[in-house]
Amino acid sequence: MAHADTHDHHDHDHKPAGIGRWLFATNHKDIGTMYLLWALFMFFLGGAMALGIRLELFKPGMQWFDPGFYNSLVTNHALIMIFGAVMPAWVGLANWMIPLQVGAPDMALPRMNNYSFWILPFAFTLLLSSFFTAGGAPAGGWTLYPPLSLQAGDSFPLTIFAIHMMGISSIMGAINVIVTIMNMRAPGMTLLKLPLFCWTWLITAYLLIAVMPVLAGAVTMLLTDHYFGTSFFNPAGGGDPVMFQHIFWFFGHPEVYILILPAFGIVSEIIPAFSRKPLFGYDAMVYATASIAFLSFIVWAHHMFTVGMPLAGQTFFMMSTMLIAIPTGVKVFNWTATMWKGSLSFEPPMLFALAFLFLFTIGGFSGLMLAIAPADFQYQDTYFVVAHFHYVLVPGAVFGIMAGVYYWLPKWTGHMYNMTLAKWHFWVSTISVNVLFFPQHFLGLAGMPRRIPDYSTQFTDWNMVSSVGGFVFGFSQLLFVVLIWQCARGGAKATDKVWDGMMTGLEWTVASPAPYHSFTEAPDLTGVADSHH
Amino acid sequence: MLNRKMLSALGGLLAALPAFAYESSYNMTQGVTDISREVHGLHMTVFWVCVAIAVAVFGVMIYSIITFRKSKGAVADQTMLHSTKVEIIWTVIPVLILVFLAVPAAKTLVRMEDTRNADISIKITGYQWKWGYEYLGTGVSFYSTLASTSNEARQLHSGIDPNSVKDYLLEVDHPVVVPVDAKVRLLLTGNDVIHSWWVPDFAVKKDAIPGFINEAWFKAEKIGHYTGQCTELCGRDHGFMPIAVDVVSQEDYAKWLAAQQEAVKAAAAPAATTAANTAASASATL
Amino acid sequence: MSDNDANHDPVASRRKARRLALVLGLVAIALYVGFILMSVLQASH
Repeated sequence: MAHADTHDHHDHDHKPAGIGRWLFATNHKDIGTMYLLWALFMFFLGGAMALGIRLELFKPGMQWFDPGFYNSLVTNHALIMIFGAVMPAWVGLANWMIPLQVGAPDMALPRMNNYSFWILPFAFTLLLSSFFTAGGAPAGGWTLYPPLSLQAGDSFPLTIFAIHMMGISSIMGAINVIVTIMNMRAPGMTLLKLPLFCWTWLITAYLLIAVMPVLAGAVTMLLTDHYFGTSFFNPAGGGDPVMFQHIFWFFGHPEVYILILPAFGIVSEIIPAFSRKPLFGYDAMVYATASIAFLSFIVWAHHMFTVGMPLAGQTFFMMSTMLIAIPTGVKVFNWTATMWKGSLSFEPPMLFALAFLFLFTIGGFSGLMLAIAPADFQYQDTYFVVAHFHYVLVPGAVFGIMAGVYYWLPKWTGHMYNMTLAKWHFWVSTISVNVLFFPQHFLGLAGMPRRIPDYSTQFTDWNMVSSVGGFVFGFSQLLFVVLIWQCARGGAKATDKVWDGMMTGLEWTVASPAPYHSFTEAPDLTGVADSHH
Repeated sequence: MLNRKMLSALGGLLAALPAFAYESSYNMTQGVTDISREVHGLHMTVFWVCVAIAVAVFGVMIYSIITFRKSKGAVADQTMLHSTKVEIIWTVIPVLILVFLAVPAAKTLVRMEDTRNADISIKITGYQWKWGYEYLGTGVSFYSTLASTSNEARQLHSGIDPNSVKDYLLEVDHPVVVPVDAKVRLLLTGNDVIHSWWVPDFAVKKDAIPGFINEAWFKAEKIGHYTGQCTELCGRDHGFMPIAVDVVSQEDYAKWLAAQQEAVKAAAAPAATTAANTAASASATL
Repeated sequence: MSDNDANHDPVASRRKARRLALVLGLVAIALYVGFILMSVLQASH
């Protein structure tokens, strides 16, 4: 009898067995899990390259690598972290959480969901195989500026096709997110009742569809310049290398927001949950996100102040860039106001969200400094820029992802994780990430260019500090892996609500772990008030 | 003009607060040109504006974290959803701050772009991996590469301690020589890939792009030796093509230029003789 | 905001979702082709 009961219970989930469950996965939770594990694997691979960089920069002189190989490390570290770690992590979180948050049974297009994941391993196999080609892996920077990128050897077509595949994967993922949010919401789940993670992802997805084709176009033209005798960007044939930079950054700046906007969404859910108080200014948050997305299309040339633009162009891009500070400021103020007169507790997701709040804001400050064009002439292509974008990407985007994982992991596995280990992971990561990146501000201001394998001796001290921070940060991420592993295998049973906080989303109404097929009957929210209006 | 004075006064005042701000291993150099000091002033102004905002915002955050703790019995105010008044305030104040920053920045930008009335013009060409300098209208031109001492030490497993090398990675065989207090116009281009010419003390950073000529200028006010590096990834030895500029007195510059021109003539003369000889022997063979 | 666009009829909303996905996919392809064409025009000037 007991056996029959259990059998019935399992039958309810209809989990396909064996490897086929993953290869032919159409379940949003399975695909989400694969995306997240892939992102974690890439995070360590890209991280290993970063440690190679920090190893070489530990002291002046060339100790470990050929300068060309060093450039390959720099280039592939960026490509892997951006396209292999951060973006797939966001798509993984979107896959897991968006259907749960909008009250849908699954993503709208499950088979396309499968393709968009399974393209990724092939794309990265192509990219990484270039390390074994004549001339080595791409070494012209992830920005692929011609004419330098056109000097690449056999790695060149591999890189281009890998980028095409990553782009197709992201576009399909983005389409899936948009149509799921637009068409699969439960009755009564109006757009302005959506959790902010859905909102920021919706806007991110539109950005992806708008700019990934632009990147694809740019790299296609690089390919034809290299192999088919065109001269879009090749000055030897009368082409315009600066045109590439304009096209690249027209993609590149929205891309930056693609990496960070979903983190805004996650933080906008975690801070109210553990402040036990509704998000302050929900509508303002949505409009601020949309404004940031709009502005991202008209600021691209602030990455290129030194290329020799006309004065009017420089002034325009300086001013438009400064404008971004306004909606970003609104967001930070709203998060702060959410905590004001709240009832705060400091579970691991809240700790990561708070670290995000402080450290992302520091990255925002250096962003404002970089917007000032005359000063940017001194900052451009130095470690000050490296410090800036790592502050917004590591304690920004990556901490946002980790906050999300710590927030929802019990919902995924059905187990609470080891809180002590999580707090150790938090404190070691937060301290070491500052030891790693803060001194890089000093290095840049003192005059150290970026993307150099060796440096003048006056930069030694801060490079040593930064490298020590880098190694501590890198190895402390192993704690994260141990924690996830333990939590997947067992632990205290998580309740449906998981946290003792203000848990308002639909995901907290289903069991923990979330059933394999959630919301086979849509919940009806018609007439149900939201918490934030 | 008034604004520029106010800006430099404000920048100077703020910069003077912590003594370490002038220490070059932490902060941007003030440099040796009017423009570089103005840029430093802008940098310090925006830095202190950021510090002020940080103190205010982080202050409220830290206060909230300490005061409104559940463990201390804090009860959340569930009615605090939004407030049009504070939302307007915290939109308008940043706008005012941005205007305060943008106006002087735009003025400095205008001055930086004004390359008219130069005393001398130097054409700079970026090569993989060295710089070429041509003093326009004088016949003087030369290449400038990493000094051999640095070059030996920077090889993989060279066994040479970089600390034992003078100006490691910043020393070149032929530094650029320019007169003090003269407006030097730079015309930049690239021969193969994009490079970027940066000397922090002059606040000049401009890309050297194949097929383009970019312009920049500086007017150094202090005799001395200034260094910089290539700041656009240009391939394998991107980190090993430094820039060195000797700013000398007007007289020393005139002497240096004359000596260079003599050397050019001396080099041309034997070459001409050789060419004539070759021609003669060629006709003899015919 | 009205909730007319929300999911009352699963079959209909999947059909609408597929149609929207098709439109978005075509937009992406148009952007790709458009940017290359724009650059061809720019280069041939």
